Amino acid sequence: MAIEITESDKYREAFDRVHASTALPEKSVIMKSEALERFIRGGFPNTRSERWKYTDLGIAAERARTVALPIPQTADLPDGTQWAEDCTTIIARNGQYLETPDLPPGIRIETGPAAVASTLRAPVPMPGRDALADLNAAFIADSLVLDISHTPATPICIHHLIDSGAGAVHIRMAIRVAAGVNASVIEVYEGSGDTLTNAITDISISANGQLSHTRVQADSHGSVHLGATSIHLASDASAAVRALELGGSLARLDLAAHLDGPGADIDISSLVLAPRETHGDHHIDIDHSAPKTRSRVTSRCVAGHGRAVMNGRIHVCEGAQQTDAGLVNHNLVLSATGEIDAKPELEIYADDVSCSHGSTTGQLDEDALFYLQSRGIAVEDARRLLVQAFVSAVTSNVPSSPIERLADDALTRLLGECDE
Amino acid sequence: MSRRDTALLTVRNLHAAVDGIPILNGIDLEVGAGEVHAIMGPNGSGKSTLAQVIAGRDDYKVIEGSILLRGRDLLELEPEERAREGIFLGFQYPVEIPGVNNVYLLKAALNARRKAADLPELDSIEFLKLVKEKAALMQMDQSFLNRSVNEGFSGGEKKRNEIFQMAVLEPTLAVLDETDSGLDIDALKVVANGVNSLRSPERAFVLVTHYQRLLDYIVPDFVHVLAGGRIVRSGGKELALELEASGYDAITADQDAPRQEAG
Repeated sequence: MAIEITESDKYREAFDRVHASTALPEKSVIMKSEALERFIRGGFPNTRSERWKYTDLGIAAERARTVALPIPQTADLPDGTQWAEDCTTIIARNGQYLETPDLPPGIRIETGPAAVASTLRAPVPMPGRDALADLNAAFIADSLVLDISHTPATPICIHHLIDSGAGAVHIRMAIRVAAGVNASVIEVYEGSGDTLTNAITDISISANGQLSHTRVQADSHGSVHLGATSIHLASDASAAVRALELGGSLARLDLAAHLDGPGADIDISSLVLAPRETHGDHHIDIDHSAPKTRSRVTSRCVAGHGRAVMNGRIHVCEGAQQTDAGLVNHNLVLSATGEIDAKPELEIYADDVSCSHGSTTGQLDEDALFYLQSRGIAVEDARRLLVQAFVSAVTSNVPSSPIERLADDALTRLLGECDE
Repeated sequence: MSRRDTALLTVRNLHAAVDGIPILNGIDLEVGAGEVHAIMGPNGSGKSTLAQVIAGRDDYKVIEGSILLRGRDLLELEPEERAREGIFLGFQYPVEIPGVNNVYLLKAALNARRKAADLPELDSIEFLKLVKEKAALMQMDQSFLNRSVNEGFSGGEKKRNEIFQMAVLEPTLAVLDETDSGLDIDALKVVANGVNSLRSPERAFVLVTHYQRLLDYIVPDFVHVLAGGRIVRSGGKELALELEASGYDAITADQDAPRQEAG
């Protein structure tokens, strides 16, 4: 069930090179070294493993051996984009957190060795992701712990830039929302070149906390982007989460939500775009482990000439009575070479619950197309209108115009390829 | 001056098939500007097909014949180009399009039409004013403006929306496909009023209808009976009443004259 690690010495050499220029305490380096050895022994999951059935990590295995070296602190700060109005932006390059801005009250950030130690102590176990988690732990040269203790007035944006030629980039973040706090966080990943990005974010929302979280993967067309977000919600905590896969030749996001306390509530909007030479994959897992918890997943996949995978699993524990869970997944195939693999899953161990899932896959409605044409709309514009309408369930929820535009541009490019 | 000189729409020997099955078997029709023509006929006669072929639905293959709009060959135009030239199809079963706003669609449609006619586009304010005026004419609630195309509309509302769109777009040739089907008397009156308010010397209507009732409210200049994909009889508005009295069989029986006694 594994892609065996060959040339393990290359990994150990890379490990030594990376850690030659970090100031990490020995304890951290030992933990990291152990993680590396676990990874070497275990290897990447292969397609015989259920969670990676549709997504072949062979190319990730090839790229993982060349690891990005830490950037000297004197390097130029790239210009940040304002991803949301008045947002506080933290810029990272190849997983390294650069000079952070003046933070508004209620927000505390930790980076550097202390943050690395902190995140190493709090691993994020996710099914099927041990290898990637170990690889991440082994190679992160930096980490970010974002503590939100009072409701900030503005959104917080973490803008990740991945340099072309960087090789494999490992990114780690932890976000903590304190009790009763209402926060908005945006993660944007932008890259260039044929890189491998391995990014893990773990989020915890304390009782009555509210988080709006938007993750936009706009990595380069040739990149492999493997992301993971794990969210824990305490009682009466709520989250509105959006995840958009807009780039990469192989893009995968594992998004796991844990409704740990009664009254916890999460709304997830997921978009996977699969243009030519792209394989996009969202694996969403919702774990209801407390009573009176609620989850909704709204998923849209659009396959141009590429392939999209959507796996949505709802798990209701025994005792999680009065769970209210729903998953709706709609997929659109726009070309004869496009492909969608959709697998909704429901595992229910309580007997007083309301759970539903639905998945549809189809092409554009010919009647709707003709209707628009009959009103004078050119066929390419009609197609674009219908596809935009199709994804609007997700894109209209995005709390940022620049991000909506990014998604719209990616969609327009996908459509342009289909019109050829 | 012959009618041919003022002909807006000229259909000559039109043959069309869908999935290889011939439906239209040689239609000849001339519609002059300012005229209202009714096309009636039994189920399966090809009435809807004719309407869709004029609008350019490519499921239907034209095998032979021609369709000219003001002398211009329509068959070489895409559906959107025909619409911009002034053709409007009122659908028998208007489709719902969630996520595409009613007003957005209409504005795009109207501006496409105006652009093709070398007219300046309307700005949002002018457009909204026009839309509200026509909505009032069609007794449509303002709230529908914010909704998606036909989303949540009852059958009758969908039909009224078709005529409302027609009123905003002011087409040259409006082909209304069974606009009356599924309507109660009150809705029928509103629809008829909408159509009648658009009658003008520059415009023509082709009403495809199964029942005579609509023609009490929209009085046609010409009535044609379609059967077996051909127009088998044409006449004035009295023909519709004759049809109501005697049914389609009596008239289409003339077609099978060699096998049956006529009359």
